[in-house]
Amino acid sequence: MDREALFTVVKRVLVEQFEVDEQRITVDTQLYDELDIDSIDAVDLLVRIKELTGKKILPEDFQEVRTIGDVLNRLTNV
Amino acid sequence: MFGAGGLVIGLVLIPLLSVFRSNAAARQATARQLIGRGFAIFIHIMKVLGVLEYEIQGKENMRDLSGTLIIANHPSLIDVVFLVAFFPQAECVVKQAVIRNVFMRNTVTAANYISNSDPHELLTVCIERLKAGANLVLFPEGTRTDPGQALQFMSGAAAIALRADAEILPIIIRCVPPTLRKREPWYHVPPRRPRWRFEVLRAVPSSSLAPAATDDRQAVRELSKALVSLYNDKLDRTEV
Repeated sequence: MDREALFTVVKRVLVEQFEVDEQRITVDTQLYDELDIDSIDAVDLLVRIKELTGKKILPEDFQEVRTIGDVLNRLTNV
Repeated sequence: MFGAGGLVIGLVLIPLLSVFRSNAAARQATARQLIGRGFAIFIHIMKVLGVLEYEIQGKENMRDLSGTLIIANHPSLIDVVFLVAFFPQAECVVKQAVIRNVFMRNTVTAANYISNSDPHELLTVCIERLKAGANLVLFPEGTRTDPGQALQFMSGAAAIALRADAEILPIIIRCVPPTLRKREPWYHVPPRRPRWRFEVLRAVPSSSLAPAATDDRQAVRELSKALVSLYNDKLDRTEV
């Protein structure tokens, strides 16, 4: 799955599960500060992404994720 | 000095003793009992030496707990020492650094405490064990209280409580004068003997604290907010 397809999945989960306005989602969007995603939401988000794509973010990388772009980078590295 | 010495002795002796139990459940119970006893002795010695004082209000609320999430604010370095001494068989979450630490590894492994290394795993294991009837001690702040900041709770504690449908037992910890705070060196001696006061409230169903919520996500936030305001109310009334 390429980066563009992953971005689509992430966007869909954010919109459907976390009621985020799709217009606000770009690669530079800050998950915690701009989208009102808290630490539990982030865990749930990654679980959902893993269910949908089979891709997982390593726990040690998890702490460093700030933007949507970070999420995509970590997912494509795995 | 005494604190560090006491901890090292306890943590070096305990793994030696726990080696003699082969069954995992028995080893866990024994290890936890030893840790709890060790911490209780440490506290007792500190008290006898006149280094600290403590009191518990609402002791009756600590009895007969099952599947209960025990939460507390975290003003000082040794809060967990008290809580483990009070609830020796409870589940605790242990930092990855502690699990890797060569002095503590055997002890925390034998005690089968919960690792915080993988957030999803942490959440799942906490919920599982609460549902299985174990009690779990958590500091919802995630770290020691930052003296200069407003009280903040991670939403994890609320999520765990609601998803496990657990009761919550709130404990309010006050330490006067404040000591062993975040960014405060442990050798910084307070002007007079510090006194820890543990106010143990009655356990309440987690769902009763977030009644207005419509979905899981909102419920978690409502509960987290309710807990923060409970602690803020309680702590504002003190001399701290």
